[in-house]
Amino acid sequence: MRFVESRIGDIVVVDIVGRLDSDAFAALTEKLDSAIAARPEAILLDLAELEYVNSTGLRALMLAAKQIRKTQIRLVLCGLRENVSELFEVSGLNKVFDVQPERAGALAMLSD
Amino acid sequence: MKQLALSVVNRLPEVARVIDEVERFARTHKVPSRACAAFVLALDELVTNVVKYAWDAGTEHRFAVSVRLTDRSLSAEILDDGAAYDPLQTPEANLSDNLAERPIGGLGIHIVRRTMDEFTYERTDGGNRQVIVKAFHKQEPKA
Repeated sequence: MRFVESRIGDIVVVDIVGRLDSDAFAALTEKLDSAIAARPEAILLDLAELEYVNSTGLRALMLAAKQIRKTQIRLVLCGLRENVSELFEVSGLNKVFDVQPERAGALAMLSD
Repeated sequence: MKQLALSVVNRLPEVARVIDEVERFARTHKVPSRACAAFVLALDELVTNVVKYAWDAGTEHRFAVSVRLTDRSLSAEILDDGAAYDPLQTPEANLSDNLAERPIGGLGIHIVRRTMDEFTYERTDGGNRQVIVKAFHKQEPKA
């Protein structure tokens, strides 16, 4: 797994690329900690290139969301592939996270 | 029936190897991709649990994963001789919409229950036997 991070105005955008599993748990937690420390208005996680996620990966996302909840930062996810989207539904995470269909729309919404 | 038998060591990097081998096996035999994705994820969850919890940390053990493919289903049998663990006794996961109330764990077995057509457990003589089955319809080649 790797990350591509960019900053667009007050939004930190993190692309998660590859497979989010037990091996990737620590790296993701660390990446999101540093994104939170940059104190943006919002963090957008673009999952369009995320091929695979298991329950350990979902746990890393939930941990981050819980941490972000304590701040004023808004967390949005976008670009979920069909298999990832189905897993979010099965796990009830589609209701926990603010999930947008694609990046452009999510950025427009966050920039309003 | 096609079969893939794997001997797995209780180390986390082994999980990725199991997934790779099962994905390659499924691709070679043209298993529909959605069924394959769900099956591989469920297998990941169960194999990860065995690696992490079946034995005391720091001791090396092997366990067996056998995958079987028919025209209608993919199935896996996981056999280990570790501590007794019945995943079917795991309480239902808390899927609250409220993030603050929701624990971050407990999703692995929930995912297996929800996505597999069969999920069984048996305590055998000195071991654990878990079986998952994912049914599918073979896609007909387009004319």
